[in-house]
Amino acid sequence: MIFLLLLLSSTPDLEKAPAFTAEKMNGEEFVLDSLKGEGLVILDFWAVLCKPCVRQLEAVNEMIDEFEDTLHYLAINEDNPMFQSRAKNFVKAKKFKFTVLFDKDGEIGRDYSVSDFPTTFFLDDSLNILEIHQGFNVGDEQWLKETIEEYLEKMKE
Amino acid sequence: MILLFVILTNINVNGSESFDYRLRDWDEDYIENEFNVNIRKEPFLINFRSLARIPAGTEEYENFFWKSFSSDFEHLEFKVGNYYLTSLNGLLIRAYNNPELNNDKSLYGVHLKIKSKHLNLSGFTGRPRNILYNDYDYRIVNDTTNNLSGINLLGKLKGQKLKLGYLRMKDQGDLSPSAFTELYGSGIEVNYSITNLFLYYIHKGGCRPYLGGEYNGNGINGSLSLYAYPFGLQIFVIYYDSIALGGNQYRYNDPRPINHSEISINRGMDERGLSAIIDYTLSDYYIQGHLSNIQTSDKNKVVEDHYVELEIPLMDYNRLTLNYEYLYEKAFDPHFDMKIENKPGAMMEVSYGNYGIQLEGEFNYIKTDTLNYWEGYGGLSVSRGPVTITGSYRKRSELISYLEDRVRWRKLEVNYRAPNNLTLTAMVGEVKGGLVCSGGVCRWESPFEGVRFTLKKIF
Repeated sequence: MIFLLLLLSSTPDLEKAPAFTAEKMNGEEFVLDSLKGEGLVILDFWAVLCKPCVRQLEAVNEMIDEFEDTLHYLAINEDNPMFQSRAKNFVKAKKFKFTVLFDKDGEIGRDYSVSDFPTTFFLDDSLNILEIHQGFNVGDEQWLKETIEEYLEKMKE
Repeated sequence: MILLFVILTNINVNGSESFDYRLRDWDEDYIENEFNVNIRKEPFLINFRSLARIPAGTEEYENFFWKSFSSDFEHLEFKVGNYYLTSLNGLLIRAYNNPELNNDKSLYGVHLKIKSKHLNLSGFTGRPRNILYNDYDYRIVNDTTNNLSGINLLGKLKGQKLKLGYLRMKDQGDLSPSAFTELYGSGIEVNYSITNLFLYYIHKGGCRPYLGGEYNGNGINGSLSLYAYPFGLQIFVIYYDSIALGGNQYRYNDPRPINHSEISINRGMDERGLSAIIDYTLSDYYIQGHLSNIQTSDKNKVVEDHYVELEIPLMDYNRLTLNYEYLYEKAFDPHFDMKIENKPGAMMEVSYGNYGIQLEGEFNYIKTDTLNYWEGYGGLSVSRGPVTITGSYRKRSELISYLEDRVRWRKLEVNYRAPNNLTLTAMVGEVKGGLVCSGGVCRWESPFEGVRFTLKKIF
């Protein structure tokens, strides 16, 4: 049975990203499905004490203006609820321009099988998973920018 | 047949697999394989996870399984099988997985949630299972006869939240009809302008298992945050008096610690503490301080932890981070009555052409009631594209035989992020053991010497 399911999962059809509802900075709810048909979506799972995660967020913040209206970057915080307040302080201090969401009980991370941070999912405008990327090293800024541009170009075609 | 085909092609499958091989002390094999799969057909989801392992120095393997079936309709969610749950910031219940410490606490039973725009009502019941192991051991599972049941109510309006919770623990091995423990709790979460307030209260009452007689406990856990760029302040307070639920090695309710080192003195039995985090951003400079003090009511056990970090931007994305930690422990470390650690550290991240370079160093001067010693650490990491090579060296000033059998530890690690979401890591060398704390749980990690290969795949 598992073998059959694995076979199915390896077909060229893109996998649909698990639906979720998360909390925004102001406590209001955000529904992933609201981004259907809205362009490229990136889900970035991060934690406040994870240095590579912070580096990735800072790099995205530098470049996000270039992709206005075509890219929806969702930084999903995986910290414990009490430390999510600390993450909120951090987000304010860093003046992040993208959407930051909070995964209160880690359920979204579990649905996406995220065990390491940062883990980044690229989704098309039908919310299918195009690519998954783990980690962020010094110098990955260029890779991230090129990947975003590449997918945006493909989605135009 | 066509219908079956249509159903099957609409099924989404995702998950992960991770394989870990260690040759410990160049002699004993340790093997671990974890497989996790989600099979989804909205709104239904089947999750299956297995962990198979052969501890070092043993022959037979053991297997753990987690399985669940869940659904998520617009106004109704339910889950049957293994599940994790946190309520009232962990004061009422916190069932979670901490892979860093090889500790998994799940419930096996039913979780039901009815949800609307302003109100969520959930009920749960299940048998807790606590798994804790290290490289040399077969599993340590607290196979208790306890059963946990409870209700959570959440009211929300424009980001403001009111929470109520109830939990009842019944030891099914204790035949006395009054042999149960109850927790009642409430909490508020207020978001207003630049302010964020969390405040939770818990009351524990019940009957002593097998012994009879009543006992009671109370706990408060709160935080107040102010964030007004460029300044951020967060204050935490805890007051726990006999609220711990569970056994000596495991807790069903398990709030996170409030200090930088994530140390908890006795996890909810008798702890009082204050902690403050201050953030300040000046241009691209970022400074953060974390001050904390936790102690028992008689002050016989104390953990005082102060940490400060300064990030200095260099050209482009290059950066220098300086940090300093002061850690004072009174009657916490089992080897010493008193221990003071002074830890200055630095990390520099630079990019040079296509290379990313990370250089870090840390010095730790340790003063105890019986001896003084120091430890130094240096690490260099070079990455290019998907490949990262890391080397590190750690040295202690003198041999302390009851802690470790060596004074230096050298390590070389290669990490390769292969295409198709595959990550490969190979490590050779020595890793210092010792007390590792995460999420309020501390354990003595056995030191490691040898070779380690890991493979992780997300699909």
